[in-house]
Formats: sequence, structure tokens, C-alpha cells
Amino acid sequence: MLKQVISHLRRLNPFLLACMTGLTLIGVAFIYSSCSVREDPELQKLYMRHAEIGVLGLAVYLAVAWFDYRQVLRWSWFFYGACLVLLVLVPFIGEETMGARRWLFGIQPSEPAKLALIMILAWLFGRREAVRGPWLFLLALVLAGVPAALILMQPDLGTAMVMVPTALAMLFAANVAPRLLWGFVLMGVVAAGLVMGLIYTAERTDLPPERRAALIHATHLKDHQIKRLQVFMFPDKDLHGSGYNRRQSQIAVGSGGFMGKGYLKGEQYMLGYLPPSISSNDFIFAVLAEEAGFRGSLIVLLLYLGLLWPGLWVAFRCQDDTGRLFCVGVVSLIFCHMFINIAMTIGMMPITGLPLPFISYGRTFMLTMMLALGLVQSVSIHGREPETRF
Amino acid sequence: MHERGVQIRIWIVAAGLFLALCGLGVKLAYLHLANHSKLTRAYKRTLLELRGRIFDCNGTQFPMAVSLPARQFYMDPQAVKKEHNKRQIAKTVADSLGLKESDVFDKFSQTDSRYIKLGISDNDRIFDLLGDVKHISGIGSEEHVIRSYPQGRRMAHVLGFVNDMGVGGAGIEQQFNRYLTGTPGLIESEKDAGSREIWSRRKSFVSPIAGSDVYLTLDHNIQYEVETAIKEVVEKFQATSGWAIVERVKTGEILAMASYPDFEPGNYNDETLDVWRNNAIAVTYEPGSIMKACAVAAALNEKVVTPDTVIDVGEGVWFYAGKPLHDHVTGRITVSTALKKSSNIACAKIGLMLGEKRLDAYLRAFNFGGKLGIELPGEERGILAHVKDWDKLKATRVPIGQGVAVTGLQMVNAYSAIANDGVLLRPYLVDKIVSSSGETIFKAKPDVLGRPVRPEVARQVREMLVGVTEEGGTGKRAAVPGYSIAGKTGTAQKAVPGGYSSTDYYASFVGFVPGTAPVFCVLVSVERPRPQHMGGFVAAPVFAKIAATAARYLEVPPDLPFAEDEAEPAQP
Repeated sequence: MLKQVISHLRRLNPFLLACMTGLTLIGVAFIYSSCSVREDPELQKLYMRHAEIGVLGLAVYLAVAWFDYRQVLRWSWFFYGACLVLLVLVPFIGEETMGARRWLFGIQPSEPAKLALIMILAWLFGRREAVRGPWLFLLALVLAGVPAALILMQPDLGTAMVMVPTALAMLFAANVAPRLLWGFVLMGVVAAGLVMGLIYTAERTDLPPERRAALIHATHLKDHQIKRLQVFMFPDKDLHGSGYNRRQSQIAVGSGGFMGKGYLKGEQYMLGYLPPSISSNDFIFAVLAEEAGFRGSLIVLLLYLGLLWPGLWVAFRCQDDTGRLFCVGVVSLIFCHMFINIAMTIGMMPITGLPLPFISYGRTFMLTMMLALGLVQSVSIHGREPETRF
Repeated sequence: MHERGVQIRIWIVAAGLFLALCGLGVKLAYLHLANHSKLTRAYKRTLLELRGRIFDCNGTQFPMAVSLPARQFYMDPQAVKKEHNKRQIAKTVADSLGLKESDVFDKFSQTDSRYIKLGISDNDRIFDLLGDVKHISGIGSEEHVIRSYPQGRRMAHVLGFVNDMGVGGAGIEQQFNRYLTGTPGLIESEKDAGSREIWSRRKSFVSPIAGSDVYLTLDHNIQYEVETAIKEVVEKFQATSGWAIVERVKTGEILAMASYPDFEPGNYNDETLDVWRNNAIAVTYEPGSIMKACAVAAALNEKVVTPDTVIDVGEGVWFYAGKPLHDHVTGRITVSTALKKSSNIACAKIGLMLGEKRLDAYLRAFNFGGKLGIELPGEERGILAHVKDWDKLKATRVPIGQGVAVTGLQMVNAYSAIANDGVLLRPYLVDKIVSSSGETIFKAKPDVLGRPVRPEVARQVREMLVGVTEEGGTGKRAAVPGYSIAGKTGTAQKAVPGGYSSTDYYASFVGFVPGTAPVFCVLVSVERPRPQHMGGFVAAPVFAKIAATAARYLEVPPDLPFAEDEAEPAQP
């Protein structure tokens, strides 16, 4: 037994663990910082909730890492199905907050659904008998599409959208029906270009109001989504309305400078420029960048690199496709979250409510991410040799 | 085969991720290191300064014009909250600012504007009432300074008014705008998300400096009397307008200057441009007989005549240069009588005896045809043609106040010179200017413009003018019990294109009190009085009223015994 522990520990990837722990600690620190100005004592102690879930997550992480991921992934169907059932239930018995119904019994089923998708795709593509042809591609699309559609209905565009590149990355790595894949990507790019083009035309050209409204309507997007796109394309458009958060987060990042203003000395959230409701989750990077400066931002980026790179390294070293693809999926998911979140904070992307992994406050998300990384760690430990059966 | 492909693809994914991460890093570095967002937090606030006050000669007791801090209320229709009742808000606003409820309500529909001015109030309770966020939204306010005239219409034409931009638009307010205007203060600081200043970040505070206070030579008590009298006479005789000036003869200080119709400086927009005009300095009119004293003084000074020189007036009509000149006096009369009875022919002949050049020179010495430089905008210079352009008739008409146009101020000032032993002073109405720190920046001193006639000539003219208000004179209605009054009546036909109007007259009286040792000089002119139009009938009683009050108020010692029963038989 001890021997087994030692051999497992030797194969444990230290970078993955260290970077994840580091990011979580940073998260605790800056949630404390951003919530220090809140009046509600419960909210002031939000960092404690984050730390608690971090400890719990770490336990789950280590426990999962102990087991062979192949045995876990075999239950993917069950996990996926359970997530779907929860997602279906959300609209009926979910709790509504701020115009969206995302919660069920205190958890967000959309978060584990992302992991479930990665698991089922990895398991599906990894089977030796699988023919990686168009049918598999379509199956993958359906598997990704059903939860994505359910999440989109909540509505939670960010979470739904993040599933697409993750699935595509896995399809790419697995080389499933490459022509269909590229066609699909091309379609997506054209559609995005079309929507942006319509909005640009409506905004810039001198059209009568009804024609403009018709153009906007043709995008079939919701009002707030159109506004976010407009703000993204025309940053100075509505600085006191829909462009406000973006502008203020940019100011936060910019005013940090190289050294930052110092811990607990951020002004943007303290003076209320960054609304307190978003400074602890979606816009926490702004708080961090302001207080820790470019130094801090760079350290965070390097920590993510230290998480993603070993993740892919584990995939590379793994002996079977299930493990590899799973790692690619998890790495893509974390990367997408990280990239989209930071990019929207600094104005490189339209605003979408996506949390920053391990740093933003969000317990379901946190636990899911740790579970996912635990499985990656399991791939690291068990993936270099064929499956052993007890 | 499979394995290798997947591994290569993992590398490709890795490379893609790395590139994207680098992109993120570059943008972050750009934002972090190029610091370009400091300015957005800058907070600058201008602190409004108070405009200087205007006082009369009694000092700070009765301010004529003061500035008060107030709030300008405005509406932002886009900021009205859904839960608030627009009708209710409109009612509250209308009630507190004195507006019409429906007007206020209509403004809610002007959603394209976010700043619609509603009104101004200096009442703190209204500020609290309209600032009640529980019931009212969409109504904002900002600092404002209002100009208030505590004495209402008093001295309106002298004070002038201040326009919406806080700039003086007439009168003293315009002329001394530079002094009255203060310096705004400034706060430089940082603001929080609610655009509120962060006190601890204040960089600089420059407090505003109030404008300087202007002290007038006018006395609001005399002014009150003058304004009341002028208003009365204009209304009684259905006149177009009227004006009066009281000048202290020894110094040139203007004690009162009034014009009617008047306006309220605080609500100057209620009246039109012509009502704003200060008639006492801005109306140019042919003075008529009141000019005679100046011509006679000139002739006496040149020793062309003496008070006892006899002039033949004839049968009441005198032809000169082919034109008849009518007179109500006949026979042979002395120069004294000519002035007392206001003989046209006698004065015309004196004019001829004096000659064009000398007549012109003396009138200019009395400052006719030129500005006196009173500290008010809009002073007219009158019309006195150059002597080269005079026709033959002119020398006979100018001495009786025709063919020459003057302002009331010129006339009262010329008589003041006669009262002041021939010393012509510059009339002024600003006594001093005191800065907000208490420093006197300006203090007026009597300013001698010239000496048109010798002191003994001035005395002789004064004696003749006393006769005017005595029994047999044209101005006996100007008599004031207890005082000898020197003065002259004037009834001038209004000049109209192509000749003179037969219905419109200027009725004037100008004189000084007491006639023997003058203290102050008063001019009263009424434009187009009806049905009576004679200066002795219309203007002289007004003069008497003003002179009696002013003499008592200024504690001028009476130089005649009060013999009221003596004056009685003169009535029938």
C-alpha cells in the first residue's frame, strides 16, 4: 500500500498541483480584498467560503487522482445523463436571481455539465472501435448541443459558448471528420462576422431608424447582447450605460501600472467604480490588476501557463486517447474561461459573464474545475501504463 | 499511426494556446504600462462668486442690489423613475417654483434633452423638497447666484440689471461690471463613482472672491420722493414719459435720478427696451425756455447787457430773416423781466447781440453738445451744430432753446454751474468702490470741468431766476414755503420731421434751492403732457414737491420766513 502511495506520488504532476493551489490562494486574497468594502458581514467573509471550497476541492482532487481515470470515465454516460436531468429541471424548480434561472439546490448544474461533456467526448473518442467519421462528429455535436441549448435558455450565453471551442479542440485533437470540423468552424466565423457586420452597418451608416432597427433585429440576438457587441466595437459609445463596466475595468487595469497600487488599496472597487456585485467574480481580474499591477497580472498568466502546459504535457505522455483527449478538453476549458475572462476585462472581447478559474468566487465552478484537474492528475498518475484491474 | 497524430495535434493545440496567451500578455502590458486613464477621475468644481453689492449714500443699511446664492433647478426627463408619478412631481415643482403645472408636465415629454431649465430659487426648503429622492426623480439642481434688488423698482434706471449670464446689461451694473464681478473659486480633486468629491484627495482649494461694492451718491429717500412725483405727474397728465435729476451743486453729486415708466431690475424682461432707457441721460430734446438763462448768463458775462438793460419786444411778433417769432410779452422790458416772464423776442435779440460765435462758445462751455462723462452707459451728447453750419435764424432760436437739443443731465448741470458761482462740475453718481476685503479702490472727488461765467454773473442770473418763481413769474407754482427758489420754466414743442409738433410738448422746470445760497439743483421734464403742456403748470409743481422734501431732508436752512398767509392772496 505504502509502495503504491509512493509510486503514485512520484507520478503526481507537481506543477499542476502547485499552480492550482497558487491560483486558489490568489483567489482567496483578492476576494477578501474586493469584498472588504461590502457592508454585509456575510459578504465580507466571502473569501472564507472560497477557501473552504478550495480545501474541499483539494480533497476531491486528491481522491479522484488516486483512482484510475479510466474507471471514472466509464461512468461518463451516467454523469452526463445526471447533468442533463438537472439542467432540464432548472427551468422548473430552479432559483431565479437577476433575471436568470441557473441554480438548483445551491449548485449550478451548468458547471458540471461542461465537465460531463468533456468526459463523455473523451470516453467516446477514446474507444478503440470508434470510427472517427461524420457520424461521430454529428453525435459529438448533439452531445454538446443539447446541454448548450439548455444552458442558453437559462440564459447563460458565456457558459454555453465556452462549450463550443472546448468540444472543437477535442474534435480537432481526435481528428474526427476534419473537413466537417473546418467547415463548421468556417460557418461559425462567417456567422460571427455577419452579426458584427450587421451591427457595424446599423451603427455607422446613415440609415433611417426603422431600417437600422431591422438590421439589428436580423441578428436575432437579445438586446443586452447587441449592446455588449456595440460597446465592444465602439468603446466610447455608452460610457455611462452599457459600456461602463468595461471602461472602468480598463481603467482599473491601466491605473495599476507596473507595481500596482498595493494590496487592499485598489480604488476602482473601493470607490464604487467597479460595481461590488461583479468585482468579486467576473471582474476580479480588474481588482487584481489594479492592486498588483503588471507584475501581478504576469504572475497570474504564468501560473495559468504553469497549469495548462503541464496539462498538455500529461496528455502528451498518456498512453491512450481517452486520457489524452480528456486532458485536452480540460485544458481547453480552463484556457477558454481564463482567456475570455481576462480579454473581456481588458476590452479585447465583448462582455460575457464567465468566471476566472480558481480566482473568481463561484463554488460549483470551483469544485468542478478541481474535480476536472484531479482527473487530469489521475491521467498523469495512471496514464503511462495500461489499465490495471483490481 | 493514431497515436502520433493525436500527439502532434496536442502540440498544435499547445502552440495555439500559447500564442493566445502571449496576445493577452501583450495587451495587458500595453494597458498596464501605458498609463492613460488618470484623467477620468479628475474632479473640478467652480465655486460661484458673489457679485458686488450696490449701496446708496447711506451705506450698507439699505442695499440697492445684492447677490444671493441660490439653486437653478432643471429637469432630466430621462432620469424619471418608473415608480414615481410624473403628475405628482410636476405639481410639486410647479408649486415650489411658481410655474404652471401643465407646462412642467409637458417638459417630461422632451426626452431628447437631459437639461431643461425650470427655475431658480434661493429657498432652502424648496431645495429639500425637490431633492426628496423618495418621491421625486428627474429634477436636479446646480449652484446659481441670483441678483436681488431689495428696494424693488427704486433707482431702476441707474442700477440697470444683470442678464442671465451674470453680466450687467444696463446702468451701474453694466458700467461697473468689471468691479462688481468677482473671481470664481476652484476645487481640484478626485471623484468617486457617484461623481462625489473625495475630500481626502483634494489637491487645491481656491475660495471665490466676491466682487467689489459700489456706493452711489444717490440717496434712496430723495430718490423715493422723486420717483413718486415723476410717476404721479406722468400719470396725471397722460404723458409719454418723465424724468428728474437732483444734483448737489457744490460737488456735482447726483442725489436722485429717476425716469418713468420704470421697470423692476429683478424682472427686467417684463418690460421692453425703451423702458430700460434712462431718459434723464439718454433722451435728447429741445429744451425750450430753460435754455434762456444760459444765453442771458453768456450775454452778461460778455457785458453785452446788464440785468437792467432795456430791450424792446414790440407788439408780440418780431420778424427776423423772414420768419416771425411770437411772444406773449409786449413793450419795453429789462433783461431781468425778460427772464422772469420768459420773453422769446427779448432773448432772441440778446442772442443776436451776443453773436453766433460767442453764443456757440458759451453753450459749449456749459458742456452742451458734449458728454459729461457720467458713469452710466448710454449717455447722449445732445445736438449743437457747429457754428459754421448755423443759418441766420439760429442765433435767435438757440437762446430760446430751439434748434439745439440737450439731455436732462446737461441742463441740470448747467444750472448747477450757475448755482455754483459759475464753476461747472462733472456730475457723478458713484461715490466709492470698496473691494470685498474692505479696501477702497476708488473714491470720487469733485471734478471741475470749467468756469463758463464769472461768479458775479452767476449771482446776477440767480437773482433774476428767483424772480421767475415770484409773483408775476412763469414759475410761481415752483415756490416752496420758507425757501427762495431760483428756476426757469420751459415749454418746448417737440421737434418732428419738417418742423414742430403743435400738440406734443416737453414741459420742464429746472431750478435750485435756496435761490440765494444754492445747495441742490433739480430738473423735471415731462414728455407730451396733456391737456396742459406748460412747464410752469406741469413741471413746476413737481419741482416744488421734490424741492420741499429734499430741502427738509438735506436740512437746508430756510432763507425766507414761513409766511403762508402771505402766499394765500396770490392764488386768485
